[in-house]
Amino acid sequence: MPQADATGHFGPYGGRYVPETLMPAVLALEAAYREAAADPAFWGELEELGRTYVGRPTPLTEARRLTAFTGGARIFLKREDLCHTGAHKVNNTLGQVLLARRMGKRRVLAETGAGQHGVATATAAALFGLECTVYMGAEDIARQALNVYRMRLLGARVVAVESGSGTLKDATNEALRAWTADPDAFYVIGSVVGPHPYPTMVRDFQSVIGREVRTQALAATGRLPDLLVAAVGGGSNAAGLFSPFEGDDGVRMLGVEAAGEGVESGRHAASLSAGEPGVLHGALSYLLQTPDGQVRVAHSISAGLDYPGVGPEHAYWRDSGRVTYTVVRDDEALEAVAWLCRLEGILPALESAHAVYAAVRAARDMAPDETIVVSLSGRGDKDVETLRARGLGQQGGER
Amino acid sequence: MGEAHVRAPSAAGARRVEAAIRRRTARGERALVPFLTAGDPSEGESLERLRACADAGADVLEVGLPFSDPVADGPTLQAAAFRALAAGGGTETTFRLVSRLKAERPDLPVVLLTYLNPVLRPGLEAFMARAAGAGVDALLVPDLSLEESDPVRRAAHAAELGLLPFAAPTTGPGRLARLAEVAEGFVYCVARLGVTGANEEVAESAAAVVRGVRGVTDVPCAIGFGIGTPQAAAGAARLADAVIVGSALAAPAAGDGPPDARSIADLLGAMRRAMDERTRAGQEGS
Repeated sequence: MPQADATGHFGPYGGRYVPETLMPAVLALEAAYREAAADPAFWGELEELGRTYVGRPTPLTEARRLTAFTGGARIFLKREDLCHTGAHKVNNTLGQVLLARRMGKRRVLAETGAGQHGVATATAAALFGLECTVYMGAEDIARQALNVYRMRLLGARVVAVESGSGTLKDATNEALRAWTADPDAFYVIGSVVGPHPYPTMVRDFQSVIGREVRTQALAATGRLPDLLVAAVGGGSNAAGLFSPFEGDDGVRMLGVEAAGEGVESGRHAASLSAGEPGVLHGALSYLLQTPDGQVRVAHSISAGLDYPGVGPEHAYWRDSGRVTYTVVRDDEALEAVAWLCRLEGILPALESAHAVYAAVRAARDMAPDETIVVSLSGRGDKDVETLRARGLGQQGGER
Repeated sequence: MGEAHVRAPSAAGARRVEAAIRRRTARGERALVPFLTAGDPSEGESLERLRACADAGADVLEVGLPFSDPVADGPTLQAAAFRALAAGGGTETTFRLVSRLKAERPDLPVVLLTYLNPVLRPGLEAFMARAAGAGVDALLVPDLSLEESDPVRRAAHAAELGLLPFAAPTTGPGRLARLAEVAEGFVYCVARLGVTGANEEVAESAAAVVRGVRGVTDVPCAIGFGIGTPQAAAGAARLADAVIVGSALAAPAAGDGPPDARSIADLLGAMRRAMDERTRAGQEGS
């Protein structure tokens, strides 16, 4: 598996850009993770939790009607939507909470956008009896009420973040501030972002997705997939799917960013496609920003992709060309939700729908004997209010 | 100072900052370092407030470049940054204000507090050249760790600007030794855990931070974070060479109305008096 260098750099990207107050906690985390990662018992416990608690391995479902509708390559769906709590996020939170317990921590902090990572953190904290506080933007609280309630049911304290745009970026700022005030707490970051070791650690915990796909694709088709597709906000499900295939030159990879209302509109979340390198939340990576280096507010219909930054390893893959990145608009993602509901009986998360749309677009240019694996990173129950407001599912309507 | 640590040559700008602090400490007094966010609430009013700080006896002035994501700041300085940005503030306004102030007070050292991204975006060399041209003497970059600081320091030094280090309550002996190797101007001693914000009294943790820094370097110590009252300023003056006051100037105590040049001058004046009484009492007592 590819690794960042000893100081957490993927080429020029990554690193550790945090206030001095936090640096000792970041270094202690790095040492603890290095030690845990070398301990087979640590991975054994995580694997057992995956099997007995999360429901792993998650299925690889062949989307036959979607493939027929598209015409072109065979499309398979990696069903992370069937994970306990409804998304891939729990793969990471269980890993980090196991590490927190190993470090003797009693309290965990987390930021959340759509609320999926918050729910997954609250879940892992409940399972291990840790105190849990989740920071969430006020705007996101308004559009993801169901997940707010779920976190509270699970015993977490949800703190509304009013400052800035009231979304994931601001929730992350506030979680970092809270960690600065309480460096003895364990900060559970939800994506492959943040200071080293988070991008590496979160990718490692999520790489179970790609490892399973490898085995399942070989079993289903007798060979590795030709193309992997995953949505990229911070980029954890994509990094988890891609990283085990990084050395397989025949496997192409496509990361899908949210184009919102269109990249040209300026209302989007396409950091890799339309941003420039910059430092936010502890790492150097691509960033939506002004010519003066002020961070721009991102936009996506999907709260989980609504983030102006991206993980540093994706920045590295973008520059090296190992992964291709494309964009999908809000309206296209909605179209993909409708396809998957009507053709496969699966309600995908809006985040995952971006990947589905891009996969369909790619499949049309591929041969019928080629295969695509799409990361269906989460289920769409959380998005039903948004879907209803956009007119999906009306009786008699085309959608 | 304890065991000798090799001290790298400091930048000319950092030496001006250090000299201004030593002019105070040589008289048995302590330096006062007010912090204001540039362009808060408007460019014109901001210049008035900067002048008020200079008139009220600032030894060094710390000027903040407003940033969209100030992770080291509490609600008061976040609000100040957002007000400045909403009024059109940013890099351009900040440098214009520094340069206007320096035209009037060429001898008052100015330390620019900025998050890293506005420094990186135009390119390190270009940013440092603009900063030096405006009259900035040194930089404080709160989200730049010691580990990542070398390229920034090289660029700052090439423009004769200092890059001042932070020490925190969590900074252990190993890191203090590394900090000592690059210390210049003053060491920003973070008085307590958490983000910026005014408190009634200086935190108890401040003494240990200063003690740690004094053990490894003879570069002056400045205490910041939570210096909200004359009483807190006096407490910090007992411990360190300089006292940094930020949040209290951006939002005075409830009921006092919005801050203006006058209320800022009043608070700094009261802090100056409390610090002088306290240091005099300390000398008589010792």
